[in-house]
Amino acid sequence: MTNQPVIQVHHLDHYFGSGQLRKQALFDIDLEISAGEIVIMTGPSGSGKTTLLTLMGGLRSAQSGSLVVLGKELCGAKQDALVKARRSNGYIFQAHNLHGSLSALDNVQMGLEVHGLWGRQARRQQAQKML
Amino acid sequence: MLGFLRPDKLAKLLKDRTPLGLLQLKHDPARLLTAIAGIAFADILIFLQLGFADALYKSNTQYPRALQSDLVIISQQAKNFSRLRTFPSRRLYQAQDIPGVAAVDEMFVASVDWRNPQTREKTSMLIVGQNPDRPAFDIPEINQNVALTRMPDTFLFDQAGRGDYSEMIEQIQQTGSAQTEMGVRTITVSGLFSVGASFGDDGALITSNQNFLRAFPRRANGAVSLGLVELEDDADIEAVQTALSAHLPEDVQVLTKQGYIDFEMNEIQSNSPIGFVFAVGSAMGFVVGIVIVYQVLSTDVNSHLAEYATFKAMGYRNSYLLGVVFEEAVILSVLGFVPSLGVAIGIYSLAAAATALPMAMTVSRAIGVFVLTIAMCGVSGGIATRRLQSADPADIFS
Repeated sequence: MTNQPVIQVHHLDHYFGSGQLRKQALFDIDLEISAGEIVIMTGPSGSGKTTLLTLMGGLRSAQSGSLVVLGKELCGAKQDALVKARRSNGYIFQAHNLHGSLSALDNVQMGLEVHGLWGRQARRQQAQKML
Repeated sequence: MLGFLRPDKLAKLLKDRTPLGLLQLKHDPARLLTAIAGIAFADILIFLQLGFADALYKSNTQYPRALQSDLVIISQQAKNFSRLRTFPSRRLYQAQDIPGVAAVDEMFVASVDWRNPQTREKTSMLIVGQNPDRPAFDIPEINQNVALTRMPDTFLFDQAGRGDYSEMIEQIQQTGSAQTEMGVRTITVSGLFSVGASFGDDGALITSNQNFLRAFPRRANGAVSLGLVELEDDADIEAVQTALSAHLPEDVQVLTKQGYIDFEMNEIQSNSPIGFVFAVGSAMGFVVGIVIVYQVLSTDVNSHLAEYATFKAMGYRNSYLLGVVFEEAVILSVLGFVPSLGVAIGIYSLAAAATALPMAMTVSRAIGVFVLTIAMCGVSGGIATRRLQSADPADIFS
């Protein structure tokens, strides 16, 4: 398990727009990241850092090439598979995007509720421990 | 997915779920109040339209509903109770040929301008002439005073009608009679009853056949508005109806009492523009409601878009977010419906007092409007969530 990289990207291309306006943003990306590895990605504005990140996070559907995260192929994956993949990814946004109608405790609990494994009481205890 | 259909699982799911829609609504009380006011407004609009339509149907069929006879003979050209046209009274004698017919009575109906003795203004009254020996209506107030109408130019007056008659009513209650004018005749009102106004006439006067013909001297003798057929106790109503229809010439039609009420209802609902007008009014209320709820929900969705996208990034499904919006829609429809029901009941009693129309809230109408409210909020919710359906959470951020 440890020998296998957790993120494997091969020949990944990505395009924005359609028809005449279609523009390629990512060109033939190859990348492997193993468990525990810290990777820092740099590049000028508009070079596709966020595009690659959102693709790996499952927030954007991959178009061509291969993108395997935690052993699951995300390129051409069904919506349902993408939703499931998102549940095992952590993603920190530039804007925090916390839900304004919820307390901090509730916001943390929302991250637990999505898995559907714990009841209300169990979620609350876990969230309190984390905070 | 099939697990959703099991009630115990569904209950557990609902219990464990964070009530996000409710919390979102509570977070912005101003927006919540606007939404409730808007929905209540739309509901009141619908309630009023339906209430007026129902009052119209009821008030225009009060006399047909109260008839005591088994069968009714009316002209083939009859439109409704106040515009029955006439047919020759010979038809009533012919009707007596049929076995099973016990008695046939004639009834005269017309609209007349009379002078309100109190305000000296002319208003339109429905005037009914019936046989005082065999009262036509099942209305005790009329029947106990019916003997008074044997006196010349003596009438019973509908005190539940539109218009200010308080002094006249008081005078009748104290002295037993009051006088006023109808056409060129001076008439005596010597009894009171309560039925209520219709849209066409402000009230009604009931008298004998003889007095009716005195009041309408130009009416052709023997031109009857309504034939009331009473059957022998053991007669088969439908068999006699068929026999009568076959026996009588085609200028008249023979209806059962219920058939006649249906005839009146059908006439109002389909042949007069009024049913359509109120249906359009109700539909407008419904559309107004959709627009208001849509405005509220779409503003709500837009202002929470980034937060919803975060939920999607965390792995929540589209259906979860749609559920949140529909949760808001259902909460709003309940919160909007309850005050509208109260206000509508209040307006009904105000309108009933002002127009003397029989307006009342019925359970079936309340349920109907509540279902409409849920539908209204559901449709709005469906339109408002279109933006959330887009496939990738990353697209929502941009």
